[in-house]
Amino acid sequence: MWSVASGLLALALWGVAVAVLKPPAYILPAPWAVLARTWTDHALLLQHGASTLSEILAGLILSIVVGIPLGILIVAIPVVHRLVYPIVIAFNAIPKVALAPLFVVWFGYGLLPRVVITGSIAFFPILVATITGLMSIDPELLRLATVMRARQSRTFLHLRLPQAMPSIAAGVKIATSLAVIGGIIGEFVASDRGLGYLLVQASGTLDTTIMFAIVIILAVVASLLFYAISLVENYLVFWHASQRSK
Amino acid sequence: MSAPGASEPMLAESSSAFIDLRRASKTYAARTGEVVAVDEVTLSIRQGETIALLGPSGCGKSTVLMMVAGLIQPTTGSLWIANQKVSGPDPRLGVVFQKDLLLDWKNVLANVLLPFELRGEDPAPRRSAALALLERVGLGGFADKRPYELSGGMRQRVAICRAWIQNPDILLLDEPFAALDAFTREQMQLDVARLSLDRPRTTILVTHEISEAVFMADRVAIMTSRPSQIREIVTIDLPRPRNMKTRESPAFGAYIVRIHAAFADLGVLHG
Ligand SMILES: Nc1ncnc2c1ncn2[C@@H]1O[C@H](COP(=O)(O)OP(=O)(O)OP(=O)(O)O)[C@@H](O)[C@H]1O
Ligand SMILES: [Mg+2]
Repeated sequence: MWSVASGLLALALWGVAVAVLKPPAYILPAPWAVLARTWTDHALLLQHGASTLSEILAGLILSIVVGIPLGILIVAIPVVHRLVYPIVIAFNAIPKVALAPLFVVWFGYGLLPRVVITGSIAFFPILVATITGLMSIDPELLRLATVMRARQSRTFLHLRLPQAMPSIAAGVKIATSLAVIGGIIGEFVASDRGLGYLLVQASGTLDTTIMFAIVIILAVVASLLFYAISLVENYLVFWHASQRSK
Repeated sequence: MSAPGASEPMLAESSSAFIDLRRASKTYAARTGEVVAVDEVTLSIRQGETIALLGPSGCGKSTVLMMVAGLIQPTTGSLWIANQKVSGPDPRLGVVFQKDLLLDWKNVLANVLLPFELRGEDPAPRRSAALALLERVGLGGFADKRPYELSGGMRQRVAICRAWIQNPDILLLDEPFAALDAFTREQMQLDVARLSLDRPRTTILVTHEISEAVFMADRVAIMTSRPSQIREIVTIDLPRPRNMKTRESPAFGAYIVRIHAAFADLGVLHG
């Protein structure tokens, strides 16, 4: 509930600033004007918002589905670590925005290129968190497994993986914010719909009010997504100190 | 072997030895040069016997235990269990480390059953044995709890159950009670003694507490640092089963005085 209160505080500060400074609407619209505009254009915003949300979610799922197994492979198989990890690091060094036009050439103008852009931006923190989590196992725990004559696969399943879960969850949280960025970038470059597309259109006509409405919607959606991931985290790693201290 | 003060030479005994260290040394290659952690330790342990490795911090007690556990290889010399040269963890082993190493993502029962889970064996048939074991160490109602919901002494008991559930012939205990308060420690010493009643297990107990060594062991190996060696082995001729009365006997006190004096002679204690 504190998050609602801090949201209201931000709105109040904004309202006071507009009332005192009286800037022109194309520089800083009033919060009530933005609210009214959100209501009148709600059908449009909803339609484009749904398309953006589906890209964000699909991209996030793509990044999880690629990032976690790839991290597991990199830790479990030394050859993969040596061969593939440098490629992944180099890929991450490329600004993904620069790849967006290429993805359009490869995948056309549909949903696919935008999901791929989103996924490619979001997957790296998940990968790194998975690798770090799996590697940072207590060596004494491994010795315990050795004296119990554990199978490698069992050690992985019962010791390494659960112990890495808090780290992986933190990676997914970071990826959530990146996925929102990825979704919007994808729509800037390669789309005829979505909130990113709407933003570009609105900037052409100096329609600052709708731009504010879009930005606020994005902030709310990203926050809700973050809380949703936190709930899943709480459910999956409730045994971890980070969850118990709440 | 009657009065306190009986000691024996460190020579290898006959083939009756179950665990046999033959001039086993371990040298660690540290960044600052080589560290001789254990220097030519020769020690024969009979089947069913409990031997305590007693010595100051850093004298190589854990290193000896890790060698017996098959976790590290001796740099020179050799190590035998039942006339077989040790090259890896023996299936008859149960080990309790200084840290309890419980898994917070499993409940107490699943932690006790971990050895089977890790070997890919079905733990279900062992459930009732695990529950009975927990009952015996006073953790009857805690099977569904998580380790972080237990006290330090309770956690260490779970770790002991986890070693015991495999019905080990050989028990290796690396200062398992060191982190506990005096009352809990004494209780756990009684618990372990009681668990062994059905059939004596060959046990190596690492400790730096003289009374713990005397209470638990048939023989106490006095270790010193620089060079890390076994200096003397004191036979503890106290009746078994040992219980709370044991500590009150004059012989018990005499052994403690005797071993304390040995450490003073070795220069471990001074002042
Ligand atoms: N992995 C290692 N690398 C380098 N030196 C080590 C290593 N492990 C132990 N040593 C050194 O070997 C010596 C013996 O260590 P060990 O852990 O066996 O002592 P300990 O008798 O068990 O001590 P404590 O009672 O404090 O547990 C110490 O001087 C220690 O510094
Ligand atoms: Mg030690």
